[in-house]
Amino acid sequence: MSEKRLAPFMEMAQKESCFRPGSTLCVDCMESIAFQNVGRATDNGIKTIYTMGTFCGEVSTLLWPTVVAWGRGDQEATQFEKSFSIIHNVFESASTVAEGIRDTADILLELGALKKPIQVVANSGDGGALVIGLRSLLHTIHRRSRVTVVVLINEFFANTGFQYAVTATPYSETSTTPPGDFIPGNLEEPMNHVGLALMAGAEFVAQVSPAFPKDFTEACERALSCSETAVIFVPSPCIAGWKFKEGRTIELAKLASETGLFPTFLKEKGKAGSLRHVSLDSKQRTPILRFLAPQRRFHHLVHEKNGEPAVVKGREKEVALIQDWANRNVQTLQRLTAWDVA
Amino acid sequence: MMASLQKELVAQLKKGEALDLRADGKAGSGLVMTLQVFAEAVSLEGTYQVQEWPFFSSARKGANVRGFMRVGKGPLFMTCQVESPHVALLFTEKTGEEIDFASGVSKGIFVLNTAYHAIEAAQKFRLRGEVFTVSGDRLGQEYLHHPIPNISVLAALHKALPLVSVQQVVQALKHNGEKRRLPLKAIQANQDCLLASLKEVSSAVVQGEEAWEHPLPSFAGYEGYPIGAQSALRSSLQNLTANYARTGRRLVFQDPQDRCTGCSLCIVNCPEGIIQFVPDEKRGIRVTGADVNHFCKLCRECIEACPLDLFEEVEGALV
Amino acid sequence: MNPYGSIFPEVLDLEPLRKKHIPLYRRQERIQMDGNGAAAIASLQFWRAPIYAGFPITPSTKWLEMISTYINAGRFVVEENGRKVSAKRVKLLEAEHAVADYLVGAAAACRELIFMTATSSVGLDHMTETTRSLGASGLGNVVLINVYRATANYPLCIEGDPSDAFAHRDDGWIQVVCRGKQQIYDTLIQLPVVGMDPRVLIPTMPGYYGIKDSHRSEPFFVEPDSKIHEFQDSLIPWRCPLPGLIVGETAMGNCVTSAHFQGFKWEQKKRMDQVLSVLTASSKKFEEVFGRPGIVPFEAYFMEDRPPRVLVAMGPDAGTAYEVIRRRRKEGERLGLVVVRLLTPFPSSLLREALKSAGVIGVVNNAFHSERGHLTALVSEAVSGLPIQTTGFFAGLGGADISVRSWEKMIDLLSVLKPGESRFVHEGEVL
Ligand SMILES: Cc1ncc(C[n+]2csc(CCOP(=O)(O)OP(=O)(O)O)c2C)c(N)n1
Ligand code: SF4
Ligand code: SF4
Ligand code: SF4
Repeated sequence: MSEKRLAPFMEMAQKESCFRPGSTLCVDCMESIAFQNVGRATDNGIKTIYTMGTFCGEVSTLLWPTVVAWGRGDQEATQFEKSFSIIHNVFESASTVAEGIRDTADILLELGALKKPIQVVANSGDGGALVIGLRSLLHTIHRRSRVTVVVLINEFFANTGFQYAVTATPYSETSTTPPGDFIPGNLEEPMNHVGLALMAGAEFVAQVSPAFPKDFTEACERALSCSETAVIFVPSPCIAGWKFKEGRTIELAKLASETGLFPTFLKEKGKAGSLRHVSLDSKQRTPILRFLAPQRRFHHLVHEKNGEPAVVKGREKEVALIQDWANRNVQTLQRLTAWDVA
Repeated sequence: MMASLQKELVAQLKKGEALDLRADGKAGSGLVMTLQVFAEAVSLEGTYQVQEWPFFSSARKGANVRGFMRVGKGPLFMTCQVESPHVALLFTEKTGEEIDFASGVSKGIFVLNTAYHAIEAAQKFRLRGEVFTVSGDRLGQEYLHHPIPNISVLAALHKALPLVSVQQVVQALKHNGEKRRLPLKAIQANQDCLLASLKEVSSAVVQGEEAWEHPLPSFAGYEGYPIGAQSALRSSLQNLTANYARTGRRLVFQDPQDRCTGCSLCIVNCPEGIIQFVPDEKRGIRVTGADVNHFCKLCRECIEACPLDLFEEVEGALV
Repeated sequence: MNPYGSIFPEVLDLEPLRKKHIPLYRRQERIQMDGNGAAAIASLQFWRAPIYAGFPITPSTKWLEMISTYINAGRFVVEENGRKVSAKRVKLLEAEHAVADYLVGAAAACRELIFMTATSSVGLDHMTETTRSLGASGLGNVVLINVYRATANYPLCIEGDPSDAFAHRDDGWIQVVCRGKQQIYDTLIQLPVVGMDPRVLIPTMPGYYGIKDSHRSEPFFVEPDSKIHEFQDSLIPWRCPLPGLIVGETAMGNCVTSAHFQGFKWEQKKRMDQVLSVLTASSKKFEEVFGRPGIVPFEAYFMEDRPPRVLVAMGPDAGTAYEVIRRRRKEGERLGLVVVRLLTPFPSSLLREALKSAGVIGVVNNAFHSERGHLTALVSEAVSGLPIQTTGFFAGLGGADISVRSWEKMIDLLSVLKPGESRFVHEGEVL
């Protein structure tokens, strides 16, 4: 190994993930990339336990008998610190289940029954954590439970066929907001999930995708070292539901940040947060068209013509409104970098 | 000219016996759509009743999926899955290599998406009866800019089972496109693809060999099922998802000049976590390839990620 | 290779937990308390129960309040490295659903410990998604005390009626009905050893009627903690053969397709079929240790002379029935009484044997049912094929009082009603 310290994510790349190949997740699914990298971050010498909501990332990775795609390394662990366990319960309560594990381990440790510590990571989709599971998420945060919550945001209920979720970009197509002549897609603005997590009292909140490996690694490491709840929202392009060509997942995740729809955000309680990979000057910011055009879920609004985005005639207003939403979203998150619970 | 098996089946239908179809392929091959369109065409024609349904699972793009169809004269009372189909369809060759798509058929009609001629395909998959093939991936690429075989297989199915007119298939296809809100251009492309495919279907009556049997799967029992479906980890290492990759394409890594900088971008961007590397004095690590033969789904992220373009998608089979 | 994954036994040793338990009782005592109190006392005496989770709902709330009172008073505080820590904790969650989810995490984390809660009515309904999952999970170390209360809210009624218990019969739990404080206390002690038996591994739902039992006090014997531990530890394996999340490398809550689902239900049912024999064996041990009978599948009164007319009932009102029948037997009427205790799995064969020479059976249902009553259906099924007429009564719904007059009326009706009929009875009147 060289003397020179590698960039943190390069070091991370060499760790052993607890996520294994052989899952049935879609070709080029971001949830898969996120699992690989959170999985590497948890290779930190502490036994790891995952809890799962019901979502793509669960049904495609925890399928008996031949698709249990978890375990650190390809062999059964020989050291407790490298060992790994996982549990799925229901759609909406990954964080509550995680809390049950956390408290049990804590009392066993405190009374001298358990000899070594564990870390707990709760995984769900945005539906599982922010729609049906919002109660679970916010109360776990509110109770300051020492778990890391990972929320994979693909803007809909992908597992059941891409129905509307509260994170959906305005005017996007979902299977329950199909654009028609009367209603051009989803009419709701997304919920402010970052703000909610902060206000509920999370010690650390990040919105970051593995497309930015340095920031993603930083977020995972900070989250895992928290003594209260940490939440990582992972914007996760969904190739099947967003409908784009293979090989563009990382690119779209970058664009999601750069356009201001899902800017990279990191904030620790009591410290100034940061907004990254997005220009704060709306004029300098990557126009949302660049993000919308490659995806067929925005086909009713934007097309890609000779590699360049072109707005569909008559849909200028909707596109302008999405741009406006992106701009306001950046402002909101910018304010949140300086906001703290009393 | 109608071959004898075809004639037999049509006669059987007229007499009131139902006709069973089963289709296998990868999710994303358009299998469900093909069955839907064919079912609608049969419905439009009006003589027969038809049922069409998938084997429901949470399979994602690239995983094996299965669909069924049953056609009959009167009301269709039978609801069980198709075990011994009269017509077996294969949308994805790789699926045919993984499972026996002809199971339960000793002699029947087969419709395959493959570049092989019907006679060669029959040899490869040990099929006896009447075999229809069409080079769906190529035709899809040509007409739909995407190697998707659904329209071509629809054409071949139309040839294999002459229950409806071409016009009815065209009409059903158009309907389906409208239902799915496809742009006009795409609907037209589908139609062009269908008409072109009709001309490219190869067929053969194959005697085959007695030994080419396709037994029904036998029930292994439930003994030994773990309590609460709790299990050990890592069973997915048996689930070789390299089969998810597009047929006939594969990834290669080439770095003869040892240029890899060890930047690790390919490693952290690979959804399967299968990029291989070795320690390196200068660079920390040096990438040596990827586990292409077992797990690479050919998502192309490493190709996009590598600043030095050391990964490439090429034509070729897995080893 | 262990199909459930490997275990790292050396990282967890529960001995410190057992040692640090501070007993509530050091000798047998006779105390006066209500049903929730009896359940709370028993729960607090387990060294294996470090965390109690809950969410308030009448009439089960007092269980949680009482546990919190003991714990907050510092009753279980021990010194650990110079720091005072409580060896028992209360976890207040934001909804019953969350309570159930929390119990899944805790019970899966460590399968040798017991995790408990108490709830009622819509509280249990709110947990349904997870109780049904838990029932199939293999997590036999979860105890849910079901304090029976009417469901649902049109109209809302907070009094005792087992419609909640019946609505959850297919959740896959072992359900035992108690009447009287001694039964509540004893059942709480015995039932976890059945659920945690490696042949069973099914969560347990001891239950008693809200208000009528939860809020009525009476004397009962409490046992020294040490004796309870001796009993439980003699039957609960020191290590569960299936790995928990902490000590094991394991996956729980897998998905399957229709190709396999039935196999798991078949397996689950086989375990359910073990319950009766495991329960019976543990009752024998219970009696050896405590000198009182353990849980029986049902109580049989006045059945020795094989009476032609028998009432089948459940819960505290069976006590009134007992007195009424005793009186009428003195007047020469041959009447019998069976009181159901094991609700799930229902002890059909044993019941059939006990009832085989009856001519008419009157089954008293305390919960609404769209047909002749849940219990009537179960009993009819148990005696099917025998020349026995079963009649259903509805009485005591929503905790309504079942007066002596009503019991008299039901007994009178036994020889009047046609087979298969069912009637509401209240204040001695028939509807
Ligand atoms: C109580 C309940 N309601 C509905 C469902 C069906 N369901 C399963 S997964 C899912 C959507 C998951 O969406 P999300 O959490 O966003 O994850 P994704 O699949 O998009 O990754 C739904 C609706 C369920 N399992 N449980
Ligand atoms: S549907 Fe979307 S989220 Fe689900 S596996 Fe496919 S790409 Fe991933
Ligand atoms: S194409 Fe590259 S990134 Fe994608 S699965 Fe294969 S090796 Fe991994
Ligand atoms: S991306 Fe290219 S240069 Fe960087 S580590 Fe991978 S192969 Fe080497």
